[in-house]
Amino acid sequence: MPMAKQKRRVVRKGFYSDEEDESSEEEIFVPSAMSTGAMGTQKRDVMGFHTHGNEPPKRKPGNLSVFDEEESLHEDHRLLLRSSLPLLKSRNAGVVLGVCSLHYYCGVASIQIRSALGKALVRIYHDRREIQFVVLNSIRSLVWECPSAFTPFLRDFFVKAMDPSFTRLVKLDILSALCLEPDAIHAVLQELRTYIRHQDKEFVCASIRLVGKLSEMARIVHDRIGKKTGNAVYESHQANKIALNCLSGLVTLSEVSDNEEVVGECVNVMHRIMLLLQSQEGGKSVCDDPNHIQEKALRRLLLLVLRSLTGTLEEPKDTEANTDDITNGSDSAGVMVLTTGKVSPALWIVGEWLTTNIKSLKLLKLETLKKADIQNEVLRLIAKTFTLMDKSAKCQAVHLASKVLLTESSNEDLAICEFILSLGRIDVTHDVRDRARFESLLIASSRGMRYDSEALPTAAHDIHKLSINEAKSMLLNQKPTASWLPIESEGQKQFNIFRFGTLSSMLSRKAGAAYIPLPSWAESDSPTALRDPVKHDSPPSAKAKDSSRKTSNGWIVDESKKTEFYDSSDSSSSSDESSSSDSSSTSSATSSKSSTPWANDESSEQSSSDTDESTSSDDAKKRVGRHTKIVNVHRHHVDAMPVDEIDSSETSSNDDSSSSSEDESSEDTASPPTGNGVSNITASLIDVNYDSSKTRITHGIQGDDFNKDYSLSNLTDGLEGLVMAPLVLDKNDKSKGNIESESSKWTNVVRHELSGGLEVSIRFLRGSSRQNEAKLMGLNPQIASVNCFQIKFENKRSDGCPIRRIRLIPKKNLKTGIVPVAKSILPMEIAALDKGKISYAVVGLEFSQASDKDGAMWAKFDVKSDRGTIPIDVCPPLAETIEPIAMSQQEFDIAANKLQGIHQQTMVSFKASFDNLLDKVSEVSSMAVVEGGPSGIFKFSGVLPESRSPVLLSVKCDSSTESVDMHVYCDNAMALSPLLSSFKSALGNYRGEDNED
Amino acid sequence: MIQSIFILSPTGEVLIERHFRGVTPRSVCEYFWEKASVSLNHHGGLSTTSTAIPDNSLPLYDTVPPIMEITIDDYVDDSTGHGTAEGGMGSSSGGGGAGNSNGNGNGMTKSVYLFSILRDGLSYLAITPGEISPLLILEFLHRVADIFVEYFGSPADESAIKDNFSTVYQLLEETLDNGWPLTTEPNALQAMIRPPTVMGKLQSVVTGGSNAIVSDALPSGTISNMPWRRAGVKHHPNEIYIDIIEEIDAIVDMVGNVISFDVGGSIQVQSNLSGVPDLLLTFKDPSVIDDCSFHPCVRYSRYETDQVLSFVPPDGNFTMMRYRVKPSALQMGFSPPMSCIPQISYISTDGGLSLNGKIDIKITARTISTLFNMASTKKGSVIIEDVAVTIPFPKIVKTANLNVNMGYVLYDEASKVAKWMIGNLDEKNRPQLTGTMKIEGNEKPEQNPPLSISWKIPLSSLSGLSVGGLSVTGETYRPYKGVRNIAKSGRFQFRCS
Repeated sequence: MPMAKQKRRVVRKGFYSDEEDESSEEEIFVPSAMSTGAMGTQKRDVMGFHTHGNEPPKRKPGNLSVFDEEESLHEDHRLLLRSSLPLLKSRNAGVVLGVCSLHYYCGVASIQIRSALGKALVRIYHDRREIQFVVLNSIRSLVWECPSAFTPFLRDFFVKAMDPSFTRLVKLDILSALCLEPDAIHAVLQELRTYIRHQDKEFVCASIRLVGKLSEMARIVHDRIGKKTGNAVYESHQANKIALNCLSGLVTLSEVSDNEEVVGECVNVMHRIMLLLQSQEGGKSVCDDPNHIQEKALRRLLLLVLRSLTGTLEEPKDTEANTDDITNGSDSAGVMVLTTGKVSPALWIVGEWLTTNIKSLKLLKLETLKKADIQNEVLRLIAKTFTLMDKSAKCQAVHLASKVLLTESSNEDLAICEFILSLGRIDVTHDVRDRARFESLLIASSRGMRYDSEALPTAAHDIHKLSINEAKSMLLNQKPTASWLPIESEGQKQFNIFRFGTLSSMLSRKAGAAYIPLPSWAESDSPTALRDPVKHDSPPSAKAKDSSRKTSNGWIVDESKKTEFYDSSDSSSSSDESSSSDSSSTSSATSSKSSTPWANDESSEQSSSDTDESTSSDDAKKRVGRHTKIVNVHRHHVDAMPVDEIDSSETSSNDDSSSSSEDESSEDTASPPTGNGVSNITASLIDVNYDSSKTRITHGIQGDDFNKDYSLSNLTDGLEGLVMAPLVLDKNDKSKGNIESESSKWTNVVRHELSGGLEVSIRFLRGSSRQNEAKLMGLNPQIASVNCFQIKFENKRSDGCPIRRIRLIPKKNLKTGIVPVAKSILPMEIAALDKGKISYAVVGLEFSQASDKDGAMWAKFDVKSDRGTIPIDVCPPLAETIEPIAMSQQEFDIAANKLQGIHQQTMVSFKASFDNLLDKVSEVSSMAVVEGGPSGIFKFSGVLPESRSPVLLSVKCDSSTESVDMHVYCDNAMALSPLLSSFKSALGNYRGEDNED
Repeated sequence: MIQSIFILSPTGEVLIERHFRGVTPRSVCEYFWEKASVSLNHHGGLSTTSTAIPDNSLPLYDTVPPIMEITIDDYVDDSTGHGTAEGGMGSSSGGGGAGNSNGNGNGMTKSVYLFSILRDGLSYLAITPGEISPLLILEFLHRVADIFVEYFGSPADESAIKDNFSTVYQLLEETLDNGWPLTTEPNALQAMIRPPTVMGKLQSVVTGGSNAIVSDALPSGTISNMPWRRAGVKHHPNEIYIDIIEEIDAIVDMVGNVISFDVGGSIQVQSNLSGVPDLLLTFKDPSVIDDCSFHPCVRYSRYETDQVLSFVPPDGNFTMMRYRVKPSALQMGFSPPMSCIPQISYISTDGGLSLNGKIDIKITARTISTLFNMASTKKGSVIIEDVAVTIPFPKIVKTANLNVNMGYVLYDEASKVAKWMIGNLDEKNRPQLTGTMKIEGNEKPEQNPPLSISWKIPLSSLSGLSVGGLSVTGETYRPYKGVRNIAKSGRFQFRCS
């Protein structure tokens, strides 16, 4: 399953970041944020069942499979959905519910995901009862949409003895939605038998209603099966059997129960079930009813009606005319009487029986009584108690009367009926009056009133004569079955006005002003600028803030790559990007990195240079070097532009740039004290090492490249402690981060040919990234013996399989004369590295002491993976361990003059390329730049790690001979030659890509 | 965000009151208690003190939903108690605008939302001003209660709170920052607030001062890689205990058929390991696990690929994992380890005027059981431990006179709940409870409330999940490792009608 693999990529981060409760909050708000967000165009009908009336714009009507559908999502959208899935395993129920909500509203309607969501919800439902309540409520809103996700857990929703009342009712709702198979219906009906004897009467009533619902569901379910198997007759017989069983159960319940609410509910449901049984037969044979349950039910209903009518009649006598309250408790004689609201359904079914096709039923034990007698008695009682009835009962009484009028009945009955109608016409309630007048007119215009004719307006006779048959077809026709099931989306409307899982949805009303309804899908993609980090304007005051941010970024190894990830994944949209940088000048952060650096318009260049720290012409030159490099990497198919042109655009933009950057530009090279000033500001704002900020300035170029990571670093700063394991990234990421410039170049330590496909490279960190990493790992970066290196694992297996369980094991170094490792902080094991993926991690080393001897600090590791064990040596070269130190030119000259003779070593006029000389030196050492001269003289300074004695390097370029003179000064004579050779090799190192000019 | 937090005692008295954003009048508590006390079982003497009764055994104010909407007067009254609560229960009373405040003239009112949970007899109330994820609040309240248990031991009940007022307030201060949850990891908290010790208590008795002493050391764990683990942990015997506890929720009907059952497990770990150990736990048969959730320390990707738990444990006790057992793993179903034959009958005496009830409950251990026996040495008879039966009587029962031939029985007059502690049960003894009941009125109850039985069988498992191995890397010592399985009852009920 491709899904699972994809999941893994983001697993760790996601999983570890669900640490605190807040994350649930974040998660909850994600759906709305995302759907307003950047994923419009590709988001076709992602959900089969979008509920809010905000129909997703259906761009293509395609009927794709789930995976195709997911593939067609927007990159970000898909990433969000996939990376949120592991959070279903969180122990925090809120997080789980948040993920479910995200997938429900923004996800793809796939069966696998649905069942995963269902499973997770059922799991968190088995939590404490308060959480249960919330989760059950959420399940209730979901279950109508996707019952299949919950059907396996039907029995989990059975009501337990200790369930509080607030969950009992919700559980019933859920159960009713899950009865989609005969087995389920059977099981639930069995359960309901227990529930109807519960102490909580409200719950009992709800259970009775569920019985009615189920008997109707059973019909639908069995019809469906019948259509499938072709055995429709048998299946409908089964359905009828269920309905009859329910009916019989209810009859019994109405007989034994002594609670009028319960009996009333029974009557209500009995009436519906009987109607159901009657209605479906239609022309077909009468349903098989061997035990005459329907008769029993009818008899019971009739009995209840008569009792209630007599009861209401008698009560006012007893209690002295408290007429508006005819609710009577259980009679002293123990006779069950219906509550007011329930008389009407009973009256109705009795009326149907008296007048229409239920005639076929026979009352077994009441045979002595003729039906006419019963009709007469009922009508008499109705007429007598009419004024005491409640509204709905009055309506039904009127209706009953008019129905009887249309049948052949005795004159006495007809008279009573007309009397009832006339009572209704002058009733106090409008509804009753309306109905009575309507039906009176109907009768009068069809068969005519016999006794009460003058009461009606005479005009009625003239308008239109109805035939008796027409009137009958109005009143006496077969009624369609009333349905318990929600019509169309009634169920949704009931529960889904609010997003599920929110406070508002629990209360069914808006809770406070903070509820944000789900916005509709975006019509189009939001501009990519939204995803790019926000660029900060840099008024002089904000300047210091900017630089402080800079030092704090690069904390997390991966953040810069993450930006890169998005960028490079948009491989097809280079035009898009450039247009975005046009549209908003604030978004130009990526532009310098993007594939078309020369296409940047002035405004974007300017804003990027705004935050530039050092924009001296020298740095501009360096930047040119870097840019052209990028050009080479990204755009092989475009002819490289002449460097001059880029250069000029750069400088012109510098001229245009704000005064702040011009202040800066003068600062750096010319006057070191001002440089110190800047770094002092930095140091005062956050507690950074003085040296590191200095280094950063020295490597001035980085500011340009790293501003873009601001917002990301802010975001990840919050998660920094939570990220333990390295993130696996795509291979095509070109990592350009803070670390990139504050480190040495990559050294390959394990070649993939020898290790079964695993390639391992390391590079040493310096300056602020070293500091930050060391701090993160709990090492003291102030100690010179602390070394951090970044390690890169790359899967280059030819067969494309992942490499599993890559880990680093420290080994004891038994060689003499070396400084052993005191402490090493190793990265977490990498569970699996897919083909072509790269994983970065940072390793911290604390040697027992610093050493000025080259190669003395030496650590040994084993790289273990499922492909075998490879020993590696990590030995920071001396040039690497030199710490930068600030120095003015004068100081440099004085110090250099002191160190003569044995303390100086010179290499004269060797061939070297001196473009990017600063870069090259910085590749091997982090020495500070004293003079990066236009005059062709470069001076660097630093101190040795152990003795803290200064190391000075001066390089003099002679452009006529294309050679350089190099002088290294150091107190420690032993250190000179390794230093010199490493600098020499750095400078002498021609690389093709730097050479294109 | 959370505006205020209240903790109420079992009698409705406000024990703890803490406001984070403005003052919520105490009247909300009164309003809540009015609602709650109606359906409250007065469990005074029984459940709060006796630890033997699990907290899920008594249904407590079970008609009060955990989320309520309350309308309060808008004016902030610092002296509290004057703001009259005129409450409208959320959904039912549709009146009143849906808006937050409906100001007309001087009668400004606004709605606040009250979340409540009940733990160890205490009601934890949180007040929020508006829309928020309900589970955020509920999870947080439970987390707070868990932290109290961690600090004061179980049960963290009224007396525990009363003994440690200052620590409670300190903890609330740390866990909530301006109404938002902040530090909720017990390990991180312990770095800041020292748990009460016997010594501290003694000191406070002698000196009369507060017994909560703020730790001298500054919190170091907060910036560590792992927020759940304290830095610099040192233990002399390095040991780790792992309990695999499986609970079964089941409904058994009158004749002994299991109507529904559901097995959920959790892995509880007590870790006393120095340094930063990296552990790897493997299962013998991980396929029985259906769906699971982990403590944040577990590396999810490792589990996903290899079905092993790789983790750096927090210090102390924690729940590493919760899981549900695959239904397919329980193919042969589940047969309860005991059978229970309840007989409740009612005889009308005095010519139908009054009614007397008779109760007879027999419990026998069953030999055939679907449990996996994890103790390889001992075959055969299984001892069921800590068997306790909770018998809720119908409300119409006036008094009950109960006798048992084994263990002892407690009857709570107010809540009409009898608790029968049997103790250990094996096939030899046959505990029986007999008794008579006096009934109020002369009507039979429609239903006999179901019995709840709690039990525990050590060294056995319902699913057969067991630990295959546990290896420690990252540290040099070899810890003592203890692993055991326990099968116990969750919500295990016998229906008697």
